[in-house]
Amino acid sequence: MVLHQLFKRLLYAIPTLWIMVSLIFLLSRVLPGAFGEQQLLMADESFYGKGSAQQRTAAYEQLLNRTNQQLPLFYISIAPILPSATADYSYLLPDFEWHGSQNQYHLWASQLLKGSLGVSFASNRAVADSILEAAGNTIWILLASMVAAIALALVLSISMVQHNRTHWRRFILSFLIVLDSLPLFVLSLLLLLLLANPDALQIFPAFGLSYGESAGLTGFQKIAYDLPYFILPILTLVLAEIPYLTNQLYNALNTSLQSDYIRTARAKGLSERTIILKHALRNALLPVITVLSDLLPVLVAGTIIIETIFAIPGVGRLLVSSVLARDFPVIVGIVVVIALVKMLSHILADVLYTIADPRIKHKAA
Amino acid sequence: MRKLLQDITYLWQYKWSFKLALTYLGVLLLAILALPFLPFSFGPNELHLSKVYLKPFSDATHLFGTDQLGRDVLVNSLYGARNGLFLAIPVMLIASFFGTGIGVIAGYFGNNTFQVRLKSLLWFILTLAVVSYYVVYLPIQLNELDQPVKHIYTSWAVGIAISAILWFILRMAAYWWPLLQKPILIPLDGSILRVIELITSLPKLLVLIAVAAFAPPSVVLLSAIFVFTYWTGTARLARAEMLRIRQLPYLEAAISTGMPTHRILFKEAVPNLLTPVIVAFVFGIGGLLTIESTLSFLGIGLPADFPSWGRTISGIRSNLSAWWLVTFPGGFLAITVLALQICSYHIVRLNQFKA
Repeated sequence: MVLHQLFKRLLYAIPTLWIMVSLIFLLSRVLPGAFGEQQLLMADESFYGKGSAQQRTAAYEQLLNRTNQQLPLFYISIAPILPSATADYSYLLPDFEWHGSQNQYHLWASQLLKGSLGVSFASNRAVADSILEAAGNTIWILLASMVAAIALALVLSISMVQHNRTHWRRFILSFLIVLDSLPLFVLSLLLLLLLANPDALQIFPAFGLSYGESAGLTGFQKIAYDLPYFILPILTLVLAEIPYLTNQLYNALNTSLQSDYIRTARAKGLSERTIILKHALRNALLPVITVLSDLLPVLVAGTIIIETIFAIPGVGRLLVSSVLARDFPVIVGIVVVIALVKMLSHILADVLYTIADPRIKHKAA
Repeated sequence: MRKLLQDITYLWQYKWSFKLALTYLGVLLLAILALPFLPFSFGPNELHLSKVYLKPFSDATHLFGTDQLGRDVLVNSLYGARNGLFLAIPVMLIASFFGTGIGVIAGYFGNNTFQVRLKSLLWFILTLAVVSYYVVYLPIQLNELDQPVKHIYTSWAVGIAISAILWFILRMAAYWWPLLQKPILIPLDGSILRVIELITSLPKLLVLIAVAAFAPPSVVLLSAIFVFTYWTGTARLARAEMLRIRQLPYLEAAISTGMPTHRILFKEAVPNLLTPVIVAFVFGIGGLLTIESTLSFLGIGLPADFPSWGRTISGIRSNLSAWWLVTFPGGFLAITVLALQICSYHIVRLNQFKA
């Protein structure tokens, strides 16, 4: 049953994903400004600018050849009109050209189906390798921040639903609204200014990871060495995640506290604590499964901003630096990876939900 | 619409935080409209290279200090507000307009009511191809080649003529070939939901950064991507509201009196779903302000001479002790977003209690 559902979800999700990723790929090539055009063709005082115009054009063509950018973009195209075509109005007839499989889209797509994300324009490395290396840092930050955020959100929402805590509830809710309206990059910069600044409190190291310093160490020693560098980024991400998480959990808890079985539990004379922890919380935790997969956009935005600000070599920073270098294969590769992760997390959430709540399975059957 | 105004006056009278937020937003709106006429001694892009990283309140002319190029932080914060809102408000207006329209159509027609004849469908598809070639693509190409204007007019005329001829041919063909008269059911709701799902299949910031990376920085392009990614939220909301309204007796009454569809939609349905759309609009402006300054903080998508909160804040990256570069524009940004959120929060709460 679950497997059947999983298969059906995959079948529905894959075409959507394929169209979106293809669109991003085509957009990356169709918009003006090829990689290297600016550096190689402009005559200025930079490194490449000193050669003659002929040399520069030759170098540019070589680059286009190496990166396959000289090939046509898609299977079919309309030939560009020539200035001479206006004399006899022949431009009014579209001139379709068929390119066969020698085009950028076909090469990219067939590589992708074989599991390869292509080769970076800038560093000539396989994109998958760069992403895998960067993901090693990103995943730990994301996991740690999610675990901490869920724990904190649980504590906060349980403390808010208790009857005699009106002032506390009001305080927490307004605090969360203020926290939610602070943009993530401002929040992390403020934390950086407060907690990692020689002028204020210098508790944490400001930037980067301990390059080299921890190279000879292994296991726990290495983790202990790197840990201080991760604390501020994780703290920022936790602060970015808790408003949404707490709100959802609090609402779910409130709804389940109004149901009949809670009244029965109260009538039995159970303590408020047992009612919340044993009866209400279990049902309130169900929606959280979907909430976690909804968090993905926040996490993506979070890693992009946090890794840029705290100079952590992760996926987010890789994305920003390849955007600034116009390194299209890396950008498209990251888009493909995130799209895959999003699809899988949605499907996983659905399956977990059916396993956790048998009522849904019965309804579907 | 009148109900929304009633809500606002009620909240204005009884909720101090709503009153404060609305007053702040009103003052801000007036200030940014009057900004070019205010007597500032320097513009937002004016450099004073002899006065870089000036501390706030230390110099009478630069009250909030200066950044790494000697640009005044106060003036830049004000112009950042102006540019941010001048980008966010039109983008959100267009996105809400399209989103509401598409959502209402999806919710009203559903999957089994919208029918067209095969000939009209064929004509629509063919004309779309013809128009996009002769009316859009070809004139752009001709314009790039600096050809005389008469060729552009010829191209437009040919495009319109071909679609007219196609219409006649299909009409004639339908007499001999009854298959063309066959009505075809179009699942509007399903296809619109599919498109929305497609656009939201990737996180917004990722799409924005990826597409903004491919083209040279430009405000117009960025606004276009914003509209493209933001209409889906309003469309979902308007669709859900329309599905609810469609079940109400008054709409059934309107349909049974034989009111034309466009009148039902505009006069009966749309005014009743405006409140959630406006709440989403206010909420969306806050989100757009955040995303716009995030992008210009990262240096992606917006031109470098575009004064923005994010651009001023990014000065901190070259000098960590310049706290005023973050506090003033960042605080300004956070307070504006907070005010917008408080406004929409109160309206949502009020409507929740009534329902």
